[in-house]
Amino acid sequence: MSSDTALSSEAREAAYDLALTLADTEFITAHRYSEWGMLGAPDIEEDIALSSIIQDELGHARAAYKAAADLGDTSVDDLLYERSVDEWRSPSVLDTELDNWAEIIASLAVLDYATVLVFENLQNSSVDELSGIAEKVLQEESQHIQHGQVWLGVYADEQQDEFPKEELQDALDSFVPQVAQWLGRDEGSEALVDADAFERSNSELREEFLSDITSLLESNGYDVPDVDLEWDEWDDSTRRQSPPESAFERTVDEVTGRQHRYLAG
Amino acid sequence: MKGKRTYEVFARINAGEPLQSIGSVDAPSDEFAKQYAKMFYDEEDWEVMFVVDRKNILKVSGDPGHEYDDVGELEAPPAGFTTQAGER
Repeated sequence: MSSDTALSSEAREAAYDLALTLADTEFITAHRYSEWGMLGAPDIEEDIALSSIIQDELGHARAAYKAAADLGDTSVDDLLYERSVDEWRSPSVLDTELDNWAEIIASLAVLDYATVLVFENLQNSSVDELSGIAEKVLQEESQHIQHGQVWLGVYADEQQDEFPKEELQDALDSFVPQVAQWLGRDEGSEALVDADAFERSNSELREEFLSDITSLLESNGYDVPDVDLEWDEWDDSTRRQSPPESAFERTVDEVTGRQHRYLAG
Repeated sequence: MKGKRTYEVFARINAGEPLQSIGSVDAPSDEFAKQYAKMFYDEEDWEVMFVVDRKNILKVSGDPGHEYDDVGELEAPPAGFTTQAGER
C-alpha cells in the first residue's frame, strides 16, 4: 500500500486534486483526439498513429483515476459516473472540440509537453500513487510530443501548401498561453512541494515550459505568442478559472457513456 | 501527406537473433517513418527496430515485377566492365 500515511490531510487533498486533474486531462484529451481519429486525420497513417496515441492517453487516464480514487477514498466509478459536469477539471482549452488538424498538433506539442513536465515532477514523489503513474506515462508521452514536433516542421515548410503555416500559428497562439496558465501558480503546488510529493513548484515548471516552447517555436520559424497570466478567478485545485459550463455535459456523457451505464448491468 | 515512400521495418525480440522483416510503413520522411514504425508495430517489446528506405535496398536477384520497383539501383558500371560472365 502507500507510504504516505504520514501525509498531512492538506497534502493528501492536494495529491488527490492533482491526480484527478491529470486523469480528466488525459481522458478528455483522448476524447478530443478521438473526434478526429479514424475520420479526420490527413491520411491513413495519421489515423492509425492518432488511434495509438488515444489508446495511450486512455491508459494514462485509467492509472490516474485509480490514483485519485485511492487518494480520495472514493472509487473510479464514482469519479467517472457520479460527478456533476461542474466538478470536471480538464483544461479549459479542451472544453470544446478541436477545430482542425493543426489544433491536434498544437495539443500534442504543447499540452502533452506540459503534462510531461508535471509527470516528470512526480517521478520521485513521496506519494506512491503519484510516482506510480509517472514512468509509463513519460515513455509514451515523449512519443506524442515527438510526433507533434515533427508536424511543426511540416506546417513550417514553405515548399508545401497542403498544411498552411498560419493554421498552426493560430492554434499555437491559442494553446501556448492557455497551457502556460494551466501549469498553475505556486499556491497550488505549495502543499505538495512541502510534502516532497512534487519536486519543483508550478512556476518553476512554467518557466521551463515557456523556455522550451520558445526554442521549439523559434527553431521552426513560428512566432512565440504573448502569455498574460490571470489569477483573479483561478481555482488552484482544478487549474481552471471557472468550472465547465453545462454544454460540457454532452462531452462528459459521450466520454463516459454514462447514460448507457444500465447496459453494463 | 504528399511524397510518401515505403520503408521496410526490421526488428527482433531478443538480442542475438536474426532481424525479422515485420512489415512496412509509408511515410513522407525518415522521421515520420521511425515514428510510424514504433507506433504501428508495438505488439512486441522489440529489443531493436530499424526502418530502411526502399531506395537504400539493392536487388541482388529475382524479378518481383512492380512490387519492388522503388528499390535502389546501382550506378551504371564503367564502360568495358562486365556485369555478367559472357556479356560484352
